[in-house]
Amino acid sequence: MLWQKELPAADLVIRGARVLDPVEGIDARLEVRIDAGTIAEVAERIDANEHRVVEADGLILAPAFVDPHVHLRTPGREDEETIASGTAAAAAGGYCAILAMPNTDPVVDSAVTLAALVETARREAEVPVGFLAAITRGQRGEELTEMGELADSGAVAFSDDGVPVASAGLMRRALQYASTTDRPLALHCEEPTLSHGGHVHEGRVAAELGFGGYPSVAESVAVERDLSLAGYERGRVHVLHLSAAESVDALRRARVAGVTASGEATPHHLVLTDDAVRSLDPNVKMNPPLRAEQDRLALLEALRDGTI
Amino acid sequence: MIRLVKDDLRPPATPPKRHLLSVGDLTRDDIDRLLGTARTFAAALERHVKKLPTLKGHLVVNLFYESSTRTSSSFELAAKRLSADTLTVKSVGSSVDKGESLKDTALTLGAYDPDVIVIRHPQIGAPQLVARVTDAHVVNAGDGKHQHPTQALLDLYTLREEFERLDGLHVAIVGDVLHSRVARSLVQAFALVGIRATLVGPPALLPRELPAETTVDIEAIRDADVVYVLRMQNERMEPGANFVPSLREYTARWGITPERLRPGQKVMHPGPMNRGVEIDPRVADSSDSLITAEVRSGLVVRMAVLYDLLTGGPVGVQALAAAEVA
Repeated sequence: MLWQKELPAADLVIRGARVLDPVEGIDARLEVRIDAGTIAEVAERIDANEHRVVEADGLILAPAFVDPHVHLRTPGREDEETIASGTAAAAAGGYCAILAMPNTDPVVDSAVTLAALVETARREAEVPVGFLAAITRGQRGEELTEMGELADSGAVAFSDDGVPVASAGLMRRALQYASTTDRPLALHCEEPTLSHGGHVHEGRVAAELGFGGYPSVAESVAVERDLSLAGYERGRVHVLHLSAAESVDALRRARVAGVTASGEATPHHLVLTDDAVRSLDPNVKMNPPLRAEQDRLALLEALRDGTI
Repeated sequence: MIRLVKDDLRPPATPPKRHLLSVGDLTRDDIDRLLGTARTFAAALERHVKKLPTLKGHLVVNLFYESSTRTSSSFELAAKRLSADTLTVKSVGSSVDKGESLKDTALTLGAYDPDVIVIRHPQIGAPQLVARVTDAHVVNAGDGKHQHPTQALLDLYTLREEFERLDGLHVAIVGDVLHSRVARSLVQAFALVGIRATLVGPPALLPRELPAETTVDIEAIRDADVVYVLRMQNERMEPGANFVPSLREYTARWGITPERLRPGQKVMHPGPMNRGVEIDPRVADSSDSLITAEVRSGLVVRMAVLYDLLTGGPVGVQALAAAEVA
């Protein structure tokens, strides 16, 4: 379920743009007519009639993006981001729908908190936004949230993003219970005892610069564990922000073996490697870290073959 | 239009002023020039009056966010021997205690128009930040586990004074490489001047994929001309990290004792030493120890670095002649 504020449905004709749509195989200079917010016609020449005309010479017109992994920092850190500012950024960046993660303060672990977010989204959201709820209360990794009520209140999936579920036993229970809600678990896969103190991919760059190493295996052992459990319990999982070739391999094997699993990668992991860390620009330090070229290529390959 | 993100992340083009942030900034020529300058200063320091007027009117700020004896005292003395004004700011007792950011502290000190800022900081890249936000020449006096370029230079100087050459020497670097900015700087410096480096230590303390010869076998020190002992950096190790089972076990397997050394094999250590842990006191105090020589080298090499940054070239006969007249 997605929510946004009421916006007038636009009647537009967009002219002069290079229209790109890989799915339809379109790459041409075309005009596009939109009637009441819905694409009505794509052709070489369209009469504007009463429609507002947008001159888009030199621009690319393409189907909008969807970002299933957004942090709107609301509630709790409205000084950093609000539903209004985050969805305005999404609109400016060409995104037509986003999903917000529940690692807020308080954590989205109760129907009350979720209802307040939905209410705000109906007032403020510039693009449709959906919300994930936590797997465990307070993301403490101890007790399951009331997933049934949360799903009924609109949670699209469950995630302890940012705080991996450390206990395999609890992950099993989560998989079992989430299956009754028909919602997937979105998993931040990180074995904290292996990533502890690590800031940069454990490899040549970290070794040379002296950064604490965050090895690929810290991600892949957690991916392997959770996919094994998902297979055993016939659960549905989505693996968040994959970074390592070994994790991609694990996901591909699990899918072939019939596990209901999907995965995602961020644009920066697709275009950058740990080599960027040599700039010492703190913006390239992230979790999971940028990895080696072979990892980047594995992510691209997985994107091509549909694993991601 | 698609922007080239990778290009965005590159550091700005060559800065207008020269800094010493990393051994990676240096060429072989730079090293030869700096060591030559240092030797000239060493000769000057043998005179009765040890002060040279060379950098009179210049201001050198020492900004130390980590404790230091050798590096901070030698930078301060180096600046004073060259007649520069010095200002030493330590994080303890300064506004850093009140939560002032590195950037604001740098801007504040930068407002005094210092010619050089010497900085030691626990975070990797802190000297680069100071170089970006001030107009001063910046010298990295140690940033986290990253770099300590003047230590590498003073060790090259010490080696050249001892062996009268650098090319073809073989140095075994033993111990806690993982936490050592000294080791990282030395590996780069040794590669520049043709010294073979062998890194020896327990597996968890040898960083993976460091481009150097590495081994866990302490016997590998046998062939080396010099054994360079690293300090076990207990302050950078969390309890329970289990890099080694115990210091006792470390000492038994990798400690440098007289029995593990060939007669005449030289020993170095960047200090401070954990006597009885990585280095046996008998080794530290033996005639084959170059440890005090390293400290002496530190003074003249840091004089050379300050001089080089502020004059941008080799120490000239004229400059020294002027010094004598003064």
